[in-house]
Amino acid sequence: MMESKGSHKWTKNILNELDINPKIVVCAKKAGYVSASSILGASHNELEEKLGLSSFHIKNFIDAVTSHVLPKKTSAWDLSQTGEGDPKHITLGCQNLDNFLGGGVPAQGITEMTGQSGSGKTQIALQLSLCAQLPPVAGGLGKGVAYICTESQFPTARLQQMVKHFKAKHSKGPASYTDGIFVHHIPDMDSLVDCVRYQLPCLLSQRPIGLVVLDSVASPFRAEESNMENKNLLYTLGYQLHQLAATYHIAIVAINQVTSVIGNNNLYGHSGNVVPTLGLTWANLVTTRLMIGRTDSHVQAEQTEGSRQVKKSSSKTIVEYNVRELEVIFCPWLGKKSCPFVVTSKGIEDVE
Amino acid sequence: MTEAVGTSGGLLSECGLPSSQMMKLLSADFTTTDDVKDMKPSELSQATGLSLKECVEVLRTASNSHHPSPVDMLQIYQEGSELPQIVTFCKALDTLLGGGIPLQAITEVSGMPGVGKTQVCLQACVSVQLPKSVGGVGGEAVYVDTEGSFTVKRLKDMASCAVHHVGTIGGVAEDVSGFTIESIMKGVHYFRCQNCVEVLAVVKNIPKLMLVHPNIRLLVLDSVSFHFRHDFPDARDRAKLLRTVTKELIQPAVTHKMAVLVTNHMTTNVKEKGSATLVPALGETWGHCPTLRLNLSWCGPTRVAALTKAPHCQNSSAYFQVSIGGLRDVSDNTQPSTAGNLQHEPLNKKRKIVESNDR
Repeated sequence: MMESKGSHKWTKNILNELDINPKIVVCAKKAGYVSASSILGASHNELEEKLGLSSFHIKNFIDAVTSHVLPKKTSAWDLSQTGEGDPKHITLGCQNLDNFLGGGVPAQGITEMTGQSGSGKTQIALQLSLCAQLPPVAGGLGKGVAYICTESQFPTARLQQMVKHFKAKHSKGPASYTDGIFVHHIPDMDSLVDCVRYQLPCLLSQRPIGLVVLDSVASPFRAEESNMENKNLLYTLGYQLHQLAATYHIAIVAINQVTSVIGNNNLYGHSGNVVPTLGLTWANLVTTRLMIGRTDSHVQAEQTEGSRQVKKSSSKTIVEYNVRELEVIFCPWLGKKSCPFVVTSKGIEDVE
Repeated sequence: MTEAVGTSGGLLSECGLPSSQMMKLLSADFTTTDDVKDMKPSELSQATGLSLKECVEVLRTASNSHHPSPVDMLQIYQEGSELPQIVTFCKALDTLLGGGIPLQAITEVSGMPGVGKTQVCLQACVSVQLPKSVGGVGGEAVYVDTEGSFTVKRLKDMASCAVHHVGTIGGVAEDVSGFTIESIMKGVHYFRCQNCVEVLAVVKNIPKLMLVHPNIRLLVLDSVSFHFRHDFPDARDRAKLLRTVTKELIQPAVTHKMAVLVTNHMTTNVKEKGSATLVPALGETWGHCPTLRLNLSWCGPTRVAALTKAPHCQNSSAYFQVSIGGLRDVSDNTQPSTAGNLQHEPLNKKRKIVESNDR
């Protein structure tokens, strides 16, 4: 399991893996300094005293442990040459939105989508769940999706509607989009953290998953009291998600809610009358924050296929769509700006 | 362990050991620190008849008694003021910092998510490499990334603008011609750390890294808080590791004359009366470590940097913006009023604003 892998690395006994004088190993074992965290966390003098060895031996010991734990050294140049340093994206299937976001929804760290209810967050998440399954040449990840629902039932009917149009538009995708989406329903805080800690790593090691959607991260925590213990749990959740993203090279999209603020709130450089929930604890864990909202404008378009057959003779109906807005609140590589889009029967579409 | 001047051959008798121990050492022919260096306590015990515990004490005292000759204040002051600083390309910010990000000091940059802490770090990685002949430090950088916010593309954009800027200034040709996008990117050594032990290992490894790359002048830790706020199985372990990291960060700054730049999250500090303020995370364990504390925040649509701890500068603030090329001044040149502002400037500014409104 991922978490035990990660924590064992610096709390387990590493003495036998080091290439050092056996006398040092014996002294260290006797004194109880066997894990990387205890050895590197102690000062040189402390180790000298507790192990009863000379400065020279202690220095060798510390050097050996340091080299053992040290992450790979690279340079910004190497990262640029291998493409490792480029931010990854998942296409949204809409050219304007993709260009605006520099390729698609950021797939690095945790991408949060926040906004008022009904603004379109779940719609975008569903669209992403389909787009992620497209092959990389088409802007997807070529892998499946783990979709965690914490609020209501997963919108299967809506997904089916979107799949129909999606298949018609994109030829290169998998045979069955629904087969690639693994849905979990988790209503409460503790189960959610357990899922991320234990069940997700299991799923990730068994199946090719490229995207994890958390819809929403807000509801399990808002129902609870905002005390220190729950804040720590929230931080643990976010931290574990980051570890999963880094270990399994997956994208994390977390949906958040908003709450109204009285007066001028400008903590995140976003003036407005709503602020994302879950406070600073969660905000500090978010790599990219996107705000989705409705605007006052509308566009009209012809809907050639309607869900209700009003008249058999006329196959075209004029439908009015509310223009939504996707705004970048913060992102390490994108400036602050916004882009309009609409939600149609096909899914998310650009505004022409 | 650092090698200070004058370590070899210090007399054991001057180390401040008890006379009974000195007698036994002298009778076994141990007179200088060199004689006992590299000995094991058990060996020394056998040779001198001192107990193991006493031998450990002797060895520790001997290795600690470096006795570097005292340096007078004037020399320290002159050396300190001669050190170049790392400019931020934002004049207001540089003025706030007393010239730029200082070497031989730890600077903390705290702020809300998205305000620009990582951007400051990326800018510093480029600026530290500015050639000496144009007033730069001419050094390399080490970037310790804990959150995964390092973006190669942003660094490249900033490097490109810096190269262009230097091209317009001049400077010594051989020095400046080596300042290219490629050289800047190669001069940023990158470590992705997944937990605090890896962070500790990277910092402890700096002396070794300096042997291969002796020109490193900037160490960036982005961020110090990410791994330390995680739910540790044992809270004491966390506090201890944090204290060790704090101590270890001082070493490269002082010994290798590096600038250490550390980013930190903000957290809410609820006071007894129920009011809450925003403060940098990690509390006092970390708080006393940085020499300079810079806090970034928003004032409307503009970013503000405020100096909250500085030994030499008056606490004040500066506006700045983040552009494609990195940190820059805010275009209309207005700055938040500080105690040291000249009297006539505000009147001129008022006139300018009124004029532009009339147009």
